Amino acid sequence: MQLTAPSRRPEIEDINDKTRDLNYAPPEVLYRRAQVTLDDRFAADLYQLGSVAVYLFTSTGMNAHLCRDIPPMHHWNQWSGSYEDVLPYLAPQFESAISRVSDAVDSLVRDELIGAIRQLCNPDVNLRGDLGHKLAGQPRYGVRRFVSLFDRLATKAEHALKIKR
Amino acid sequence: MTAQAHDGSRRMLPRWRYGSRAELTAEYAGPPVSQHRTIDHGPLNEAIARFKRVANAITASEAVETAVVYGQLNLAEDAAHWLLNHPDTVAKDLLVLSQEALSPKTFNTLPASIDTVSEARRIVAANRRILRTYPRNVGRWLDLSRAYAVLGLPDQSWKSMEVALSLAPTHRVTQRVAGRLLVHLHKADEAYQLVVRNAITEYDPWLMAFEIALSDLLKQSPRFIKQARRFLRDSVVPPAHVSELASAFGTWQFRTGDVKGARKSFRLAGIAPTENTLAQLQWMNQKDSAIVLPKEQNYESSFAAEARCWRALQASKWESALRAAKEWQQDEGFSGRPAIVASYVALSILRDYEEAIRACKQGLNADSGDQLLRNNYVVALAKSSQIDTAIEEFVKIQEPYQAGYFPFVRMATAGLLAFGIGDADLGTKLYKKAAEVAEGENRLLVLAHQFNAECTFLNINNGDLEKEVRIRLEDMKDPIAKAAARSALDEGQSLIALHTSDVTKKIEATLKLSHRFDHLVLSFDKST
Repeated sequence: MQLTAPSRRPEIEDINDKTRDLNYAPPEVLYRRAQVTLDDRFAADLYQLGSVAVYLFTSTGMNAHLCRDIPPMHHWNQWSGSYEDVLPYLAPQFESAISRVSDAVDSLVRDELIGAIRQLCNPDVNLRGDLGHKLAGQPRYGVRRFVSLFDRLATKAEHALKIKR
Repeated sequence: MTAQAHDGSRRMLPRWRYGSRAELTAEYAGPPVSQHRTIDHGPLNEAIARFKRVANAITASEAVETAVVYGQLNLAEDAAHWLLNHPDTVAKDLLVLSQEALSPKTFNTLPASIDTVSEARRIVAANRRILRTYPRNVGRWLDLSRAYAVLGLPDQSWKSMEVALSLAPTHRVTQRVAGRLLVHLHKADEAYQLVVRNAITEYDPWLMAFEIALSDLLKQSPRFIKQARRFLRDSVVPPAHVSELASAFGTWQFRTGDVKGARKSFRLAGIAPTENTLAQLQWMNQKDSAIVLPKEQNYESSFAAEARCWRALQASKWESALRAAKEWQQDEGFSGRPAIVASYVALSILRDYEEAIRACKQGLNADSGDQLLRNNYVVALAKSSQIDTAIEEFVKIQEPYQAGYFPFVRMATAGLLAFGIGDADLGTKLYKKAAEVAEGENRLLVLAHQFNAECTFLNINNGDLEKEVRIRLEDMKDPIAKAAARSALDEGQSLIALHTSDVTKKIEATLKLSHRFDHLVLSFDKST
């Protein structure tokens, strides 16, 4: 089910809004995709959560990874087309970003953490979130699963650290 | 014998390269707009100002990161230098980012030399593996499809393309390369349906250009010709967006007899040409020298191999033409067209049969159905004294014959093979027939090749035939046909000379032997 935002009209996010930190804004906002539904907002929240995780391991958010190797014509400040049309050009940047984060993460938590970041930060809004969750009848953009995953990974890391000491 | 340099036509079909090699023309930008939106760079300026006030790891990192996000790396050079001078204060990845910020980036270039088949195999292996993790990456499906096309696996190529099309069904680039693949698979009608069904075609100059080119290929009237005319007349979009449309439109005007209109369209096409447009203009310039060619610097791009090839052919610079054709073949490894040109120049003008066979083999590996290319291969094999293989290959060319594979070429090649197996009567008959059906300068070309074939296989110096061709050689207008005819005559002459010197050498050797024998007999007599 898709929930409709209270305004009930397509809304283009104002990227020149001074209160907005574009370093962490989801790419669909940078590329001015209309934020129509409440799901769109949830998807943006998930991206930001993932971007914080990326920051913790690489010292830059996901947006810096997406923008660093992109040809200028595909950069959000030059792109004139729809978000759907630019997605194919963001896919290689996303793959590189995941690869870089993967290199920066300890092998102990790598697979699960990278899997989560891949779900949280996918530039394609339709692929963001836990698709398996959706199939199980749970809210796709639910954060709970990710919170418990991060908790578990933190405990695992602490435990490993204690053993090491 | 005769080979063929091209099928007599060139259309504005889209280029199809691997994603990392595509020439990033306006085709890859969004829809054409007259001006871009304004971006407030306030947050970036603030981050840089903070770094300037207090330079530390936090402010420097923030300045570099914000500059990357805003696409203004040059503004964060000081911060990047600071981070590189304090490597212990920040994460390794941020240092790499800082280094990137300080070095200029180049996007998508063509490698100087590469084995396209091995490369295609590598791309297939890598993409099949990565697509398991990222199954919705359209670019990877397109690359996979192209790699399969280079390997001559049309079914796999189309299957991958279908996935790409299902993921981005109306995307301009996907549509154009899918159409290009269909043309390669000899399904131009399906390509046409694909393009005209797309709702954006009547607004998009790139798809309109493709629709016109496909209509030309299918010998039908373009559906969007009015829209194209209006777009070219009224649109205020940057010239880079209309270059291919103007070129396709101009080609259509030229074909329908509106030469003046065509010249005007080509002038518009040449303002900000893609390399594809450049090649088209160079090609059309052979037919009408009044068509204005773009500036010299456009030919310097590594992508412009085809344009350089046509230009070198027009200027009778054969070595340069062969070099450019090989670059073009490397660039469009899935297509038979560059292989046809490369093999023709090597075979008919430079007489480098090994090179011709190499070009043909590579081309046929990707496009085994190209009859023109196979014909060139047959001729190259025959000229390399591999008559049996040449006949095996010639038998593979079956009806229906592709457009541009002229009957006189087929007959002359059959004549060459007849001479090759020693059937002089049949060879002469076939060449005669070929000369009858060949039109204009092609007739002279057939006669020159007949002379060459007789010299090669029968060791006959047909002086009358040579005289007839030599007299009219200077009147030939097409520089490629002229060079090929001259080369055929010259090679024939040198072969005869070689045969003659061979015979002389044999006689001399026999005399020497007999002299030795005489001497031996004499000394034997003396001793006894």
